[in-house]
Parts: sequence; structure tokens; C-alpha cells
Amino acid sequence: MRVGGIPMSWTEDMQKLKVVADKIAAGRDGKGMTSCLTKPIENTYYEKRTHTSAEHMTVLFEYVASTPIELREQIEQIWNVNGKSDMLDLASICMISAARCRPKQGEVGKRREVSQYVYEF
Amino acid sequence: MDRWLENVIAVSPDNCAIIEKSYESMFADKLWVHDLIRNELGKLGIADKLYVCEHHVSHAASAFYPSPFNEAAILTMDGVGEWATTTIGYGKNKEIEILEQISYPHSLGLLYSAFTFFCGFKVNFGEYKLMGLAPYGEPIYANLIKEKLIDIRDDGSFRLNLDYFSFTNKSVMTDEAFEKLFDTPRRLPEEQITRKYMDIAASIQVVTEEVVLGLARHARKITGCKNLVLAGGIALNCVANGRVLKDKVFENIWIQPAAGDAGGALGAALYATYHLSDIPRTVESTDSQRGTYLGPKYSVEEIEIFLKNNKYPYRVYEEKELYHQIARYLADNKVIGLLNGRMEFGPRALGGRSIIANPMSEEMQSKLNLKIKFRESFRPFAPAVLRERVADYFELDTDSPYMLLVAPVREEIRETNDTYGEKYTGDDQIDMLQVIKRKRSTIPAVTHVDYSARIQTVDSERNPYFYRIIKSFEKITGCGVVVNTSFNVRGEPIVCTPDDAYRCFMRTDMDVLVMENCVLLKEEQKPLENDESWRNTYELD
Repeated sequence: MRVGGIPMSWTEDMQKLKVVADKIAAGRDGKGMTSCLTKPIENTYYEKRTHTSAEHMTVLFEYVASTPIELREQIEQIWNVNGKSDMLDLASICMISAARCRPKQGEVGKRREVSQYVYEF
Repeated sequence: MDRWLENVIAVSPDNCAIIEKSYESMFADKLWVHDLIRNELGKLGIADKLYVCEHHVSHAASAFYPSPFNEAAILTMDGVGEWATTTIGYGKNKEIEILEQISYPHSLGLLYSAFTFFCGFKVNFGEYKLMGLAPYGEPIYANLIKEKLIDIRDDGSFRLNLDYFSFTNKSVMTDEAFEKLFDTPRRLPEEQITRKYMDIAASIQVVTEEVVLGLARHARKITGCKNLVLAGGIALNCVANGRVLKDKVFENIWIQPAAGDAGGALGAALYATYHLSDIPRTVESTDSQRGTYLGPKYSVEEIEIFLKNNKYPYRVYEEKELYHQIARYLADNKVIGLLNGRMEFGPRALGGRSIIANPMSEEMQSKLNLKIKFRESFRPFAPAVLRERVADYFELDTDSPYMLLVAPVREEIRETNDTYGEKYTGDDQIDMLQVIKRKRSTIPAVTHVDYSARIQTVDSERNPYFYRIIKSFEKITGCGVVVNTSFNVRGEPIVCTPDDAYRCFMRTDMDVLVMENCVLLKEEQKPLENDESWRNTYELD
């Protein structure tokens, strides 16, 4: 069953995410997805890379975000350098969702052995 | 996460399905995968910095660094990485630069997967089945696909028409729009395959080849390189690879044998090695992939302990006698399971964990499919051929050690009375077995319906053990080719350990199991106890 288009089984965080995403979509007026770190080239569907704009997001980077707050900082930085400021409203929702959904200590690493060398996590 | 959120926004307000499908995996799994990696490395006593390598750069690195080239154009194509679905890059010595890319949702991999889904196969697993089905059909829908589904530019770049795909807003790849376009419902898994789906498979294969060829030509143009390296799941489409080779866009081609995401692990490790250390890159004249025999191995002693502990009857042969004995079994049309040396890294069995058989037998393809592998009868088998004799059997005279090139069987060895084509007009319910059993060449078990073959060349350097088996078979029969298929049954992973190999051997109609120097005959083994329900263990692929 749905209320206002949102399934009732959804968590509050999922509902918030949809509401904010829909609001951003309305503000974009039908404009499609825009990728990070690329710009279009005329008369072709190829895109060029724009690495210089995101020093933290080179092709190889040290992964340091280990808390929801650090994750939020990282994603905000990506959106800021790529001109996606309209998405910043999603940052808090993502941080809270990440914190609530994060596997508890001990849950990570639970695995089902398929064979001696194959595990399903 | 950025791409996922952009996707959620782009399909607003119809984004409920995509949120419901992916919310948990995004916030509970994917965002915390580094925890998992740190935990697992911690168990191995490794606690250090964690570096992340971009998805398509990992593919590019997996293709370039192990290749035999100091300089090459790099083409990667798959479903999707972070954003990129296709990249064209340039590699020189230790450096890799991505020059151009095509971004999600415009993806050749997702296009091919949509057709995989529509034809009733499992997405991300059944793509090779679609490729195997294609030669049974005619590409009569190729123009329709290009008119409605994908806009291909002269420079090889492309854009999908999202009106016909549902991967951006639903949990399926295609829906009613696709069914209406092809005037048929989606085939459900295990349903009979009619001519219509064969024609659809043939059509998307032709379009895929056209796109890959266009991308390769553009890569040549913008890099000026004479060498090309390939990776990403689309690079496992060996028919498309064969087209690029035949078209001579590049003088030399090297394809990462673990071209799918598994190979990304190798690429990421190599990229980090060359960028975080002073280790020089050494280019080897063949390549640095070591035949892709990078997995675990078991010594004769370990195998004998396993066999003795379990009281399985076996005999041990001296090396020289062993090859001759295996060749005799093959000549007698016995089907042999082979566990030799290190396991292959990548989806193809190349003689390390293989089932091998006589390619001259007319019955062998259907026997292997139905009684050994328990898989669909239409699926072809690959030849493993002595490198020095590849041109005697196939229209190919180059190395193909990783079974990633398709080429036609030479006309001289084709059967002249083949009536290929007659059965394919207007008959919706083709008797597949009748078509398969028709003898098309002197090596019918490895000759597909369109006379093509997915070739593995075997040389004495990469796998001397496998080479000597084929050489001995050639001495007895004059034939320098054997059937080579992965040592597993449908839906199961390829065997790794002697225990895996023994169980697979006992559960099928295989006649002989060879593990290094140890030979086991089926007729001497006792049936496995309490093993009736083993086929329920794995979901069908």
C-alpha cells in the first residue's frame, strides 16, 4: 500500500530520500543525469575527463572515510567541485542512512562457505 | 553513490522501484565495503592504507600492464563502473591515461544484458549463452535495433534510447516497450528457444560487433597506436574480438583473459604497484599473464594423500606414459576431467581445470552438453589446438592462448554436404538436436553452426602438460585438436581442489579423471553416498 506514491513499508529515511530527490528533479526541469569528472565534446557522444577539478578523486586515491560524517564530507566535496550544489540537500539523509544501515561490528565478515575458496558475504 | 542518486533523481517521480531495490545494498553494503576489505586483510595480518582505484582504470590496467606492449591503445567496455561504461585510453610504459569515455546510462554492456534478459538468460551470467545462440539465427532485427534502441555515430560513440529500457527505474532490464518492439513476450528461463529469439540474438550480436569495431577504429585514430589491449565484460565477446582482429584495425591485439570484474582486482593491484612504488614495468615478449594459471595448485603428493585417505582406486603413470595413456582414452571417445597445475584466473578453462574429449566424434557435442555438463543443447564447445597447427584447422594464424578469439573453421576441412540454412527458413520450432548433430567438419564437436570456433592455441611454454596431451593425441589420430570445456556442470563454479574434481567426476558421465599423474576410471569407483540432491545446491545460470 502506498501513501502519496510512497510505499508504507518504507523507512522514514527512504521516504525522506525520495521527497528530496523529487524536489531536486523538479528544480532540474527534466535535465538528465550528469556524471562527475567529465564534460561533453561537440558532435560526438564521447566525453572528455576533467580530472583537475577534483584532487581527491583521482583514478587512485587513499580511502580514508570510515565514518558516516567523513562519508558526508567526501560526497559533499565531490558535488561541490562538480557543480552539483542542488544535491547537497541529500547529504544529511545519506549520512543518516549510512549510519543506520552500517553493519554492526562482528556482522561484517559473516560469510557462508560455498567451497574452500568461495564465500558468499 | 553519486550515480545512484543521480539515477533516482533522473527517473523521478517513478523512482520507488529503484530506491526499494537498491537502498539497502547501497547504504548497508556498498558504502561499507572497505570495512569488509579491512577485516579480511586484518585476518591475514595486513593492516595498511586502503587505496581505491577507479573501476575502468582497473580494467585498463588489467589489459595494459600484463600485455606484451610498451605502448598501446586501451579500450574498456562493460555494464558500468562509477560512471563510465566505455573508455578509450592510452598506455605507455607505466602510465595510463583515459582520453575519452561514454557514461551511464549509455552502455554497450547494459544493452547486451538487456537482450540477455529478454532472451531468458541470467543477467551478468548468461551473456555468453546469447553469443552462443546468435549463430543459429539471422540478424533480421539489426536495423530495428539501430533505428530504435541505439544511435551509433560514425566515430563509434553511441547513445541508448531509454524509452525502451527499464534498468534505470525498475528491477528488470526490459518491459512492455521491448516486447512491443519485437512483437513477442520476454522468453522465460528454460522455455523452448524459438527461431525468433535466435534471430534477436543474432541481431544484437551484429550490432555489438559494429559498435566494438567503431570504438576500436576511433581508438586507433586518437592514439595512433598499432597495438590494442582490451578488457571489461564486453571483451569476453570473442566473436566481436575476432571481428576487430579480422578488420586489421590494429596490428596487434591483447585481451585480458579475466576481462570481467574479477580482472579488475588484478588491474587495481598492478596500477597501485606501478604508481605507489618504484618497481619498473617489464614487458615480456609473449605477455606477463603466465598463461593466466594464477590460482591454487596441488602437488602429486597432496593428490595421492587425498585419494588414499578416501580409498578411491587410482593408478599413477610415469610422465611419458601418462600423455600416451590420456591420448588413447581420448581416441576411444572417453570424456576426461583434467586437474593440472595452477587453476586458471578468469572464466575460461585452459587445461588447468578442463574437461577434454575427442573433437572428431559426431556425438560428442550433445553428449557433453546433456550428460556431462547438463546444459542447454545448443551451446558450442571450444577447440584447444596445437599452436603450430592452428592454421591447418582455422582461418587464424596468431596466438589465442586465452580462448578469446573466434575464427572460422577452414573450408578444406568442412563437410561439403552440409545444408546449413535450409532448416532455418520459416520454421519456428527448430529441432535443435537435429541441427547440432549434423556433421559440419572433420572436427564436428568444436565447429559451431556457422562454422565458427572459439579457439585456444596451446604451446609448450604456457602449459607443457596440456601441450603434450594434445601432441600425443595427434600422434595416435593425426588430429592436433581436442575439445576443451570448463570442469564443472551447469550453474556450478569450476572445480578447484581434488575433492571438487572428484565429486564433479562422479556426478556426471565422465569416464576418466586425471589429476596430475594420477588416473581414475569411473568403472572402478564406488558411487558417492547420500548425494542424490546435489543438483539443487546451485541455482541454474
